[in-house]
Amino acid sequence: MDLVISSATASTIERAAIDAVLGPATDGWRGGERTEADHHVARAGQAFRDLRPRLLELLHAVNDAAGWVSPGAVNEISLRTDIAPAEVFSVASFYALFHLAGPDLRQLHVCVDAACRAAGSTDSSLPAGAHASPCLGACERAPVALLIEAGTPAVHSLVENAIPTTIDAVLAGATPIPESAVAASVPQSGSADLVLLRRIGQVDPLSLDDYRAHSGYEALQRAFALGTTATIDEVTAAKLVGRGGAAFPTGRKWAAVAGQPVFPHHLVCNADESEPGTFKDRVVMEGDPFSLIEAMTIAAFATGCAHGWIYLRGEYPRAMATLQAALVAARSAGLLGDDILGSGFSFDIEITRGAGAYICGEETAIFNSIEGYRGEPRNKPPFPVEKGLFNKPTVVNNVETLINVLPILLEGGAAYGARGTEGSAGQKLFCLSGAVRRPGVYEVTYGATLRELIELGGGLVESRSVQAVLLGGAAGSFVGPGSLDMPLTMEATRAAGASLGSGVVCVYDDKVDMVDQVRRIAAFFRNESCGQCVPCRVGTVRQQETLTRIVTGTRPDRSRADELALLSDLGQVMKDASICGLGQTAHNAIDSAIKLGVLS
Amino acid sequence: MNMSYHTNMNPTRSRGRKSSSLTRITTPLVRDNGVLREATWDEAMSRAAAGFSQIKADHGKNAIGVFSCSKSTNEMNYIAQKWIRAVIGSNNIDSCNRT
Amino acid sequence: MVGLATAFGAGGGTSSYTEVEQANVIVMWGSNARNAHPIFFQHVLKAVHGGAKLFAVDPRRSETAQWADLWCGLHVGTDIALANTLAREIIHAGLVNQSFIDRATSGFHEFADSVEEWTLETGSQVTGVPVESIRELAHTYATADKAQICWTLGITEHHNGVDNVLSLINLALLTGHVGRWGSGLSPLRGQNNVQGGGDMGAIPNRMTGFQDIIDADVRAKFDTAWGLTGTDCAIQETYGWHLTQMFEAMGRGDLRAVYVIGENPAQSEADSTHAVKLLKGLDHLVVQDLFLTKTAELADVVLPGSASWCESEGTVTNSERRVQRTRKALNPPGQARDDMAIIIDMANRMGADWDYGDTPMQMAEMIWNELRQLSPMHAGMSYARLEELDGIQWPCPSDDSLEPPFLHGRLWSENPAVLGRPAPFSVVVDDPPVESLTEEFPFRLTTGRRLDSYNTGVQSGSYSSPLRFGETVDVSPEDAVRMGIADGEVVLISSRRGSIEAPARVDDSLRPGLVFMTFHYPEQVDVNQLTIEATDPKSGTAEFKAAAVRIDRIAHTAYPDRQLAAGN
Repeated sequence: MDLVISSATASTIERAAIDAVLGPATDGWRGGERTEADHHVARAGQAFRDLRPRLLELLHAVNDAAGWVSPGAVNEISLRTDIAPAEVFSVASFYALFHLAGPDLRQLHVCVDAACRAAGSTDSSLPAGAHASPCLGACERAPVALLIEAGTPAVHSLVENAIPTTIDAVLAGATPIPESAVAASVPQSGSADLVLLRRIGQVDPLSLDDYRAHSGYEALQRAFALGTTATIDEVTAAKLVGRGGAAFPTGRKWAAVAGQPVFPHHLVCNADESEPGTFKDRVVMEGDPFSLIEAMTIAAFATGCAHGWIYLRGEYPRAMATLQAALVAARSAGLLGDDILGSGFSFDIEITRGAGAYICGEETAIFNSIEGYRGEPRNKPPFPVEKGLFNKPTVVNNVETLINVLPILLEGGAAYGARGTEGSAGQKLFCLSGAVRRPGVYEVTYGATLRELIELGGGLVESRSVQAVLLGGAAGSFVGPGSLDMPLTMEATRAAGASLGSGVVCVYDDKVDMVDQVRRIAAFFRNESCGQCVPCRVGTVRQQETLTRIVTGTRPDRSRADELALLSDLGQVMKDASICGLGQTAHNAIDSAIKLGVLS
Repeated sequence: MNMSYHTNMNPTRSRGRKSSSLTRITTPLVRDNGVLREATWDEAMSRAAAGFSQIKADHGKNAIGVFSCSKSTNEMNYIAQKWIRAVIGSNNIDSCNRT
Repeated sequence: MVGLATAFGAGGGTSSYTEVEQANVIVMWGSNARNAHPIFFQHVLKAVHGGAKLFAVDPRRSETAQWADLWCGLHVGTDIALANTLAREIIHAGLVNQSFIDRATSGFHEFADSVEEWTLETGSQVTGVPVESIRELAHTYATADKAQICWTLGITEHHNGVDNVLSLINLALLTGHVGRWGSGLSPLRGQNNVQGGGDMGAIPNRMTGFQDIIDADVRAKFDTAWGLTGTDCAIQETYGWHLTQMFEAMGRGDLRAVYVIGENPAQSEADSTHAVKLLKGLDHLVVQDLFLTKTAELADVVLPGSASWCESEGTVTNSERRVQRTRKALNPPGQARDDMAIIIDMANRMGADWDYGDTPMQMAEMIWNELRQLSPMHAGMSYARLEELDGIQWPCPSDDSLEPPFLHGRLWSENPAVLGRPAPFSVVVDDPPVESLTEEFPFRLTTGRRLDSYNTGVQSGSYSSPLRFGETVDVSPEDAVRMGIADGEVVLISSRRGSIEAPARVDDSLRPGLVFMTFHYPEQVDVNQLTIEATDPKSGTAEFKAAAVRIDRIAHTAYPDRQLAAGN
């Protein structure tokens, strides 16, 4: 690469952070001392292009250590990796968690979405030093904030009860109270009805012995016994569909990758749980990490993958620590690595830490992000099963989807597929938050109604009434109190013009300012659009502007009917012409809110 | 011709320099009393051809040479080498390549 | 071209661009194609992104070398030493393609004996390239499925440029990396039609179609076609003078009249002060050009011609030997005339009776059809067919079939009649640059090109470029520190022939003792005042790549008679 590098240099701290990732500089061409040898030898090329997937890790390293990604750090990363400084900067500037404006050693990110917003969080009156953040995925404890203290190592802490007094105290230097145990997020913990969540709160998340004592690794043994094709057949028989929102049949996806003649095949676990109101995957990873590792091993075995990636949200520090420890434990127990359990099958997993980009939950944006690029979605086709990560056949599954594979293999696919309703088979996790007494992750068999779920959560607080419920997150839709008896199945929600999406059920009582909630969703999409395709980049901005005009009445010359028609038109354009799901769904919630009448 | 670059040593000042040598010549020129002046095609071609004929007569065919152009077409290069070989009778032709 | 012609009988790159894209190993030797051949380099990059290994052999860690998996930073002028060391290592490691050598080459044993002294240690000592790097390059190249060696002026612009080329050809012969799909030898040409100029016979030793003047049948064919048989113009059996010999002949007074067509030797020659003096001394100088160049300013007659790419009809031939049509879009401005028409007019005024029609299109096609009769390798390329196929690679002897895209496939034939003359190995002897470094002139000056400029700047100088920073003398960080030279400080650069001033630019692609300049700004900094006129006796190319210079800070200069850089 021909690099043109400005004069800014990295600080000692930044250099040390980079060295910790890549090892010390090898020669004068890579930031080391220039010696006689450098006058005659230099290496670049493929060995350095192979470093590209480590770019996010490097940016995290300097951002964590120094509290920002400085121009000097950009130059140093460029020197060490042969990636042009403009490229490094373009990637750094794509992700919200990378701070570019100057060192900020103690960043407090306050969630201002969905449940936290309903609980009083607001982006309009944050004190200096606090940053408004999209949903932090801890809605059951709303309102929350995330404190990032730069250093080696950096300390990430979830701040609960993030009310103004707490925020002020933390900003003033107080150490936040340690976050509550993960069991608290599963109010059903210990119930005999649980399948997917049955271990959470009942076992030590990092004890392999505990995990095995609760039928851990039996499903993998079963898969090895069945062989690859029969394993996929079980998943197909179970009628398992993707739980991330798109509901694609998992068995079909696996079979498609398994049949690709091109190798290697790759497995990506989409743990970039960023849909506002969603936190189930985090709870699973924090409370039962081995279930994900075992499920990924089964998926990899069935589809012929030697390597798996967990793309984890950057805002999930506890899930990160738990998974890292679990991976180490699994490796040392021979459950990852070469010849797993004597099967001859070899597989390992690495974690890619996201950096604050909702779009990276899109199944092709996730590939670009893992590969070290801006997380911009790719055009489809080709589909991931054919050309995915590193342009190789790739299985992408959400965390919840994967852990369903364990009971499928233990019970048998047909038996598991018999659970639930005709159109929605099996168990389903819901992220219940907002105005209920016991918010948390709930597991039900498909078919339970919205009312039943709310009741599981203890009903509404203080005899309030339901004003609206957000189903499926920002990309989902609002339903009103008239829909409480709707079964939470794919077919029933589809018939009602809604969707289950990622399992968000955020309940708003009659005290909540719904206009504010809807405007926040418009702002969210505007912020999170990657900007790559015009319908979404321009559409999300125009949608927010139009919505603002409607609710503030700033353009008396335009009738409400005209504005609503324009809004609807914008929504249709985004739906028809955006290249990925973000733009295609950016109008859903707003459209449903208008139809529900919450804006009038 | 204004070729005054004597002091133009500042790297930033030489960006986008305009050289008068980049103005196309659109008229034949001939040298009179040491100075180039405009001429008609007929006059210029007569002078050019007569000069070559004279040298060939006085000093022989090998006293003439051609510097041909590596940016010109094959056809131009063919006809130029045919000129030096068939009209002059010499093999003194070569292509420069650093203009 | 001379080197390739010596080995294979034809002076052209052996491979097509598509093959370069599909090679597994590419060695860029003395070529900063990233800057100097940016379009060709796109083909290289396709290979690189497809997983090919790229090596760069260059004294500087050039922009091209920065893309390479391994840069071998040899000392200026030690190319033969490195090639011979690679050859010995390939032989000793048992990596030669013995069946290819036995069938298709000659002189192997003599060659093997000649490189025996070049152990890795000796080679490393002479070239400066570490033993491991040499071994890696030798083994990777020799064991590659498809390998290309590409070179440019870093190989040819030496006093022994032809030997340099021959030393690279030896490597291809050892390993069988020539004459088959994907493997080959690719000299990159500096201009759109350097290949075509040679192919057309605009060189002193070959007639059109690269046919040797020494061959009586060839001369007879042309004499007959041109009606010269029995006249005093019948083609002479002796080679004409190449460029440098023409300048020498000017010096002796043997060459009295020159017709310069589209060239600027007053500024492009090594030792340009001397070149101007010689051109001034001619009895008759006719310059046909688009611009009033430094050379045109010296002329007796200046003829305004046409731009080849937009004001001319005809064809050009690129580095992969592909002949392509070029079409006229504009009339030349003012009274400027078509280049072919001017030459035809000149011929007819001197007694010829040439009729090539009236319009440029008629002239071009009639000339082309005439040369197709005379040049077998162009015979099958009618304008209609060139149009239809978007260009055709030579050789194309037949008008109803095409040859493979690579040359010398005959070398792989089991049939001796098809195989023909075996390709000879050449014993080449390491021969350091003519000008050795001394205490007085301790720096090695090498010259090259930058992306934003074209040669002497006649064509590119009037366009601005954000990349352009004017002429500089690039020095290593170590030398800058040692001499106390600041980035941008104007220094005096002197060789045994002259002195010029230029701002210094600290560049870590250089090692101590090595300095770099371009020749893009002759009117500001006439670098060719410094370069050496020593030329290769076999090709006539000057040693632009290796002069000995000294650098002085202006404040302490010891040269009282220094000349301003402006060429006044």
